[in-house]
Amino acid sequence: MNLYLITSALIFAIGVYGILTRRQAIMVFLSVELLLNAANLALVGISSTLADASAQAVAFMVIAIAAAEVAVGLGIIVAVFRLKDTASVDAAHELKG
Amino acid sequence: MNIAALIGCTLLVASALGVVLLQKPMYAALALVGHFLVLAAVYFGLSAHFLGWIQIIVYAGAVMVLFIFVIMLLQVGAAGSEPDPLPQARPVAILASLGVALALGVVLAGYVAPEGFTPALALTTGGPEEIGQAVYGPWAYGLLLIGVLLLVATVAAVVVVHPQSPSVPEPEPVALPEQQEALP
Repeated sequence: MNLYLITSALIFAIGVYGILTRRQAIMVFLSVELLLNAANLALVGISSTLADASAQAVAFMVIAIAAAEVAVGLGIIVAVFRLKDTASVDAAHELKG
Repeated sequence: MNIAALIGCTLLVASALGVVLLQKPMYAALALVGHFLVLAAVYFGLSAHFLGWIQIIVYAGAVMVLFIFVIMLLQVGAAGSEPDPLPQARPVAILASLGVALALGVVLAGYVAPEGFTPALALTTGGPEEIGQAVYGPWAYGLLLIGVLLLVATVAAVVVVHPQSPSVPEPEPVALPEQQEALP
């Protein structure tokens, strides 16, 4: 049993809880970062267990993708704030059925 | 499973709980900074030195500066005391996250290293040399795609935040030479 894999599962579940309960867009975003880092921790743990550097290359790419995601996501949050004057995810409900 | 790894994993879970449970966004962001720093330390312990430094520079540095800047720009801290518009969602969220933890935990706890596995790129210290050989070797196409993705994301971020819809600006009226001569 790998301690890091269990920790990764726990952090992922905590991030899911944060995404489901937080109403502010920026806090949802912080929880998404937790998910990405949980996946990275699993990758690095596997890489250490198998003594293979390939998983660390994938983790490196996950970090790069997370940086791009933060740039676009924070841009969307700022744009929604300009339009609605609030950063709550409940404000953007035009497409609600 | 040594004691340092246990302490690191406990700190990771505790700081992650801080991120989702602290009410003020700034406190949650600072808990996330702590999470990233502990994660970097865990990476060092897992012989992933390059990733550890990247974690500190990119995540705890650049990404968190962006987050804290936006939190201050939007002043979302004042909205933290608003009543939850969906209080009945909380038990569902707890159940859902427990389900995720159970499913992932069962799968990941049952992981055993495959027999006779020979690593394609042997890991010794996880320094830039080893990661570079992996990134520029078998994962080169992924690296190229990420380059394109970063370019698109940069353009998208600028377009989304730009206050007006992108349009061709009106050309400046050019003063004719005769009008300039007619001036006193």
